[in-house]
Amino acid sequence: MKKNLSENIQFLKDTFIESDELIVKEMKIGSKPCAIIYLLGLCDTTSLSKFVIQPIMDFKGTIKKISDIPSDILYLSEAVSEDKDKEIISNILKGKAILLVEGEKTTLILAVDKFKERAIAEPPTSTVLKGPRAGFVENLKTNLASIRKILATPKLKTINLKVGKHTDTAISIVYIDGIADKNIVDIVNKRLSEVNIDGIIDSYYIASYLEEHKNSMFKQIGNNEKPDITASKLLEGRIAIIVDGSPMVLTVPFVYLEDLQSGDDYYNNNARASFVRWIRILSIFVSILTPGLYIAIVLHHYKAIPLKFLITIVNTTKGLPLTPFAEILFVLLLFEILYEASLRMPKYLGLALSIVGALILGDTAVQAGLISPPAVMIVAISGLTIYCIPDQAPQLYILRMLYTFAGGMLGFFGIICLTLFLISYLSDFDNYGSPYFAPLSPFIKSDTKDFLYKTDLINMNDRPLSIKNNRNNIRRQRNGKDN
Amino acid sequence: MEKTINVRQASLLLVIFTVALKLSVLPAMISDYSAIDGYITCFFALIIDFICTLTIILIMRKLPDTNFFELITQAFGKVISKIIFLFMSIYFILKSIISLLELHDYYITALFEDIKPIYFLFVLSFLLLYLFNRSFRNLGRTLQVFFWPLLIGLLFTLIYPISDIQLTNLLPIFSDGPYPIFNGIVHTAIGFGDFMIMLLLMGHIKPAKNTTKILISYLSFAMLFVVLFYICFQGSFGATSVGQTLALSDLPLHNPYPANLGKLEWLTILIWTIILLFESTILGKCACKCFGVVFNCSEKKTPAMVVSTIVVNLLGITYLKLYNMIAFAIRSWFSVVIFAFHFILIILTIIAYIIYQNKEKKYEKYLQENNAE
Repeated sequence: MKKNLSENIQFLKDTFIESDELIVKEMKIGSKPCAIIYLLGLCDTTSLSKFVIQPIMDFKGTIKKISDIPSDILYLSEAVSEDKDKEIISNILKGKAILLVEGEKTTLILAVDKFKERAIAEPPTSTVLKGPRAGFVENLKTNLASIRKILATPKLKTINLKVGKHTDTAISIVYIDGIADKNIVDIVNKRLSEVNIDGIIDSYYIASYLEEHKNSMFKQIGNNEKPDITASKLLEGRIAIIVDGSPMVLTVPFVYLEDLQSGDDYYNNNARASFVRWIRILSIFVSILTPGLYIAIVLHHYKAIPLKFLITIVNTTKGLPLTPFAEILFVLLLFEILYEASLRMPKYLGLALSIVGALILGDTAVQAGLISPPAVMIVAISGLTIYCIPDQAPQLYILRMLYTFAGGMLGFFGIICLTLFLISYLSDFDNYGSPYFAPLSPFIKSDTKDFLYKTDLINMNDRPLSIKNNRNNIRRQRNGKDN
Repeated sequence: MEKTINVRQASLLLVIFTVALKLSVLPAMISDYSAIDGYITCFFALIIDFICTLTIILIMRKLPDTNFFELITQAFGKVISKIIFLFMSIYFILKSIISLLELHDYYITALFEDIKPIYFLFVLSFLLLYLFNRSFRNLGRTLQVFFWPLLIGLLFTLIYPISDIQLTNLLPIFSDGPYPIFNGIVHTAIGFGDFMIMLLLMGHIKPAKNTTKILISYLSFAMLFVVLFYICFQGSFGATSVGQTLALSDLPLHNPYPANLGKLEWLTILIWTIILLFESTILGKCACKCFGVVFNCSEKKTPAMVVSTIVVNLLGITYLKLYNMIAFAIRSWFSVVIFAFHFILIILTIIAYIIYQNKEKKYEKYLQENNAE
């Protein structure tokens, strides 16, 4: 910026050429010419008029320095000086107004930005019966405030970054000092600082930059939409990454069994929560194994089926045009098509689709003798159980396909070989220094209290050992006193 | 020395080593030599293994930071130690092939009559290459996931046959004197020698409070399970035990109650597949370690590739010839060689330990003298 006001105005007009939203309001502070510049639509004009323009017009004295304006004239809580062109332009683009004064190289950035923001509501992907219902929104500051409201501690630290050549998206790395591992904070900070991308539209854009194993199909970064969940993860020593414009907050380190936990578990009876956890574990097995096991049994190991059951299967599969393998693949494909269509179709057509999918396609195909009822049932059970752990759904789909092929090609032997390979692979998979398959492998007894079953909070004295934190693991003293 | 494996993982590897290879063809083989004293033969063979394992554990306690290869090389020099490691490598490969053949035989007989050799070998070659390339830590961690299902399954297979045991099938003991027992121990030596895994784990186990106690308790449990299994087997089948070459699935089949429940033997087949795959993987991994030291391979990939290629090719050559392989393994001269090899190895380890300790003492004395000067 230069000292000449008209030259500065011209510079900004040239920068925002062909942008009709740029508003330049020229006026005087006392006797000194000045200008307020902002982008229409991004700025709260009511606040601007009331707290900036009106006080300036009412001011009759003289100002010595531009830095005196916020304290002497304006009614704004946030107004900072800035002299770098890039920062000034960036702030205008983010919805702030700037105040240029004749004879001053420095400008004032006025925080009068206001976007229409979605109200805080319960996120559709993490509904709970009990417990807090507040979810994150698309505004970083609001999300950060939501976390701070729960974690009212000065030890909650943030590192702020700007990423994206054209979006200049604000990102906050949030952690609790003294609990989170500083090395992981540094790694995350370094990885995000090195991101070279045109734009960040959502937090998923940066998830792949944070992944340790780039070619793995397994989920490596935790995500959630609720401040209470994020706060509890921070208390366990994890690090949260909030991206402006995204209601999905990322957390690292992530371990595989994390998705077995649900917000509801912590506001529910322990026995019930533990039971539900086992249902979720069972769901993983049922979802990925049932089609493969069915094909393995029908194609290779029919001797494994008790005779009565075998007769039923033979009767239902008699005269089908497709082999059991092709039949299962066909039904799986049909299920995927129905699922995709139900996601994309307008809501009012949803009912029609379920009628067409479930009744007409399924029932008619069975009636016509194209597919057998066991195959439909197997795929339906598998499809249903996948959604007991929705966050794991993408990888469960792939695993289900792999098991289907393994079972079809090599029967039980194929299934066992694939299982051995997968468990061995996951056991060797360290994610930000945390063993990915912990507390199962390596077996960490103290951590099973909140994984394989849910014990009472009073008994969870230590932070999870599977999560790499700063090894200050005592959550609370055993006599119940605060630590 | 990198401590990569914790004591529980090491114990699990030891348990798998102790249990596998003993519950399928071996009971019938032992019965062939020892008749109704088969379970006693097994008991004494396990006692020998127990003493050897205990010896290694005690040496490990004394030398927590020295691995087996360093110990032998420092004591006997490079040439002799490499010859020992080469023999060990061959031994592990041979055992790995036997366990894979057993797996295949079990599979074909029990459930998959038309498995194509090419499919079996193709899948196995990839799996073995991948698993041989893993560390002991990874194998231990993987085993931790499988351990409880395997244990519950194995115990389940023992519960029903217990009601079927006839004491007349177990008595009288030592009916033909000690010779059949000794004969059985020597001729079935290939199925024992489980202390070998401990040799390779020397110096790699993370120090813990009760390392010795934990290792011994796991080992005792595994051995107790094996002896009980042999008692169940002998007690259930009596004089016909020689013909029961699929002991683990034959036991639940023999009892009418699990048969009425429906297909209980399938559980054992699945469990057995996993156990044998683990066993052959651990054996292969041991072979890779020895091979790597013999040929000075600093990375894991080359030994893993070479050993997996050897194993898969030998498996292809000996395909469907499990009983020929076993007949070879129990030939008098070969079984004596294996039996002697177990003993020689443990004696060499003790000698190496003594030499190593003497060298250390001399070195300390030398340092003290120098410091005094």
